[in-house]
Amino acid sequence: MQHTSDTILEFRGISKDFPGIRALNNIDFDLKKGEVHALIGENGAGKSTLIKILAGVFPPTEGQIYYKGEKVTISSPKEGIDLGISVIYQEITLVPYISIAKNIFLGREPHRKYLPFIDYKRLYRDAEKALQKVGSSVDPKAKAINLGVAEKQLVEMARAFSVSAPIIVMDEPTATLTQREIRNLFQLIKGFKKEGISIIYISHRLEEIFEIADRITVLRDGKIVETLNVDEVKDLNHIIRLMVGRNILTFFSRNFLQEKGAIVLETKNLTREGIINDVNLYVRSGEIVGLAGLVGAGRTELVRCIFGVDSHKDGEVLFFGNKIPTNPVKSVIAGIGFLPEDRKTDGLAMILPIRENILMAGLRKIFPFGILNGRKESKIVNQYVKTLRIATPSVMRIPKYLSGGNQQKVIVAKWLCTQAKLFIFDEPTRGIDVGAKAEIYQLMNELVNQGAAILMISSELPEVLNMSDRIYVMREGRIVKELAREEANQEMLLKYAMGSGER
Amino acid sequence: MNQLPFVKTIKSFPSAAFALVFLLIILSFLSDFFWTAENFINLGTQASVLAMISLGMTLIILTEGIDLSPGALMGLCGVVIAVYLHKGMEIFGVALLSIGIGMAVGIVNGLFIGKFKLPPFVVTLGTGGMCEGLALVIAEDSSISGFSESFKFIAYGSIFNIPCPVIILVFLVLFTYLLLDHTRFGTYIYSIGGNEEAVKLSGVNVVIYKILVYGIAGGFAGIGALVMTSRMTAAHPTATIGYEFEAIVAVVLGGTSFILGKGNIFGSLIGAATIALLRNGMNLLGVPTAMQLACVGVFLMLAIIYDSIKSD
Repeated sequence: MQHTSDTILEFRGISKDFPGIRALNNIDFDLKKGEVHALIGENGAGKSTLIKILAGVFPPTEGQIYYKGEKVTISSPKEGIDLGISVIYQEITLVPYISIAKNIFLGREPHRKYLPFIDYKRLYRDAEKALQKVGSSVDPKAKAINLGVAEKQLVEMARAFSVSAPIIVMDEPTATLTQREIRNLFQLIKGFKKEGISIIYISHRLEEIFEIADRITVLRDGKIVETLNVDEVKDLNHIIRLMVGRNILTFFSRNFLQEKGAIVLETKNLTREGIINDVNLYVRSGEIVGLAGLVGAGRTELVRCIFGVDSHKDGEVLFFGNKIPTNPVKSVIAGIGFLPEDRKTDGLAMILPIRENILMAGLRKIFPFGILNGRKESKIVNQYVKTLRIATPSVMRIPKYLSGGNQQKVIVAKWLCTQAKLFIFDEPTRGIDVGAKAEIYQLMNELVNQGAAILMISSELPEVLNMSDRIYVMREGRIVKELAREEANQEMLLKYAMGSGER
Repeated sequence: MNQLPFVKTIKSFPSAAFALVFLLIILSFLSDFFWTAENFINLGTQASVLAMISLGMTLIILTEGIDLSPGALMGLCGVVIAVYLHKGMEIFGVALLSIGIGMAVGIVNGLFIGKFKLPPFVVTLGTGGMCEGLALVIAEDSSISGFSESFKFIAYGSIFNIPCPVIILVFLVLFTYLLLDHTRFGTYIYSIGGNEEAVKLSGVNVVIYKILVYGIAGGFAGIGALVMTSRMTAAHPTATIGYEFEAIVAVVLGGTSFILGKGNIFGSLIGAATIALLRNGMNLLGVPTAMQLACVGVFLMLAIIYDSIKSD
């Protein structure tokens, strides 16, 4: 990797230490002018750390950065921006109660010539242009709070692209986008390449990477495993092997039980006005029931009603044939475990150690008299850490430092403590890397083999198709179709989810 | 869910708007003295000082902060004003001095909160305590009175029949409005509350803006103290304690939220007017002070309940 004239950015020997962990170890990385360089690796491999060093969020412990052949230090986000590095962060970074236009130009608001005031005319005009470019038709004067997830992502892009920076970093840009928006993004990226703009592209969706990237750098445990041209890659397995360091033979591990158990959960005409409509479904012990549908079809809203976080207007929820009052306290006591889509904000207490997170929901069952026993707590926690193979040096660590897969396991352990009979998984593998995904699938399989029932929301079609015994397809708050595993395929799911003929 | 535009408009009003109308109606029935020019001038002066503090408080709450110091800070400013008036300083001089002390204390708040990342609640409680103590020491535990007639002009004078405090307030409102809605700084105030990380990642120096926000609020408290001292024609070190509470109530009544940088100053102004009206009305009806405080508390609870029902 020596310096050539078309190299715009170079990392030499970059390392980064956090208390107790070496997040990056001696990274050599280069970015050529006008290339799309994909950065892949499991969660926790160090991709985000690398990006944050580049963006100036924190400095490297060792090593140098060269920009256009010159040594630079990027010690604040401002210096990164001034240097010409524009980042689309994975977590959405919009401000809710200012206009979309102000969000796009945050920190770069156009000014009147002689007065210290914002030039609103130019602001809205430029914002309009930036939004058009990414194919978004939202009103730049509207506040960002009212945007949907995908729209927010487009606004983020409009912001990053309006900088006209020579380097654009995209951290999981397509996670929430529709196919059409992804197509549009790829068109834009191709346009950028022609203009000589370089792109660092991070994604878990390997198919995308093969389509758009010129080179791929694989990170594992803070080190670079290999940098290779896209045409050197033989197949998907080749890349996965580099990422996890081993072959994944059985990705979706399910042994489907012929004999299903009793009906654990049943809903009758469940309705929440304007959101979910007349939903009838059931889940038996020993089976995984998939809930498919497009984003916004009402799947999350439905399970929130079942769990009792939100109230419903009509209908009822039966648990083992008994009507249960829908509120979270009663649901937990009855034996329902909810694993929300957003693990960081809804699933875990991020500032509490793993130990407390595991015990949180089960304390009532474990210590019915309200008096705690530390030794018993430790025994239970250590047992779950062992049986669920939660990879952590200590149970006192906070979940922030765990990979997405291990965070998910902590939540499973939490519900095992309550002796849950039904697990509701909302997007169980969102943002989780390939290796950990396989482990989550294995875990779900074990749960149902031991007699639990699982209701799983998933937007990833292969996941729904390969993991579910039965699948309900939702659209506009209704269940439009129930499919058995044998009869379901991708086309059918999409057809029912989108409402064939309509649109 | 279709809603008539009329219903939507009504729903967009902060709870303070309803409270204000409600109080106006009730008080017209209960007191003959209410709709008199004298009472309204009195009311305007009373409301102005609270409104000034509420303006600063709005800026701070928009950044997801809180300021518990302005009550005590006003006490300190008032005492210093009194001392220097007695030493023969001109009005202009004491005005600058009061604003300067206010801003200095505000900047200290902002430094601890922005630079050293301490919680605003604790920091401002601490500086408030220090201000209170210092005021008591300077005033030797009593009030200072006996000012010149010319100093009274600030609170009792009027230009074109508009009371001076109201004129001062109009300038401060204009300043704050322009700041919030037409400058970068204003955008950053909303954004720090809404998503501080986003602001940092956009290359904005958050620390400086936090310091400035607390500094401005402190300056407003200094101006408030000036009007207050003139109105009471005396400075008492602890008379203004509790103003921070009323200002917070005014801001919340006005629809500004403690989280996510949501709100605006006009709501806060209505909120301040409501509280001044409530106080004024209870004074007219002879409700004891302790009871008045409880009523303000009830208003705060009602406002919070209303807003939470509305956002559901």
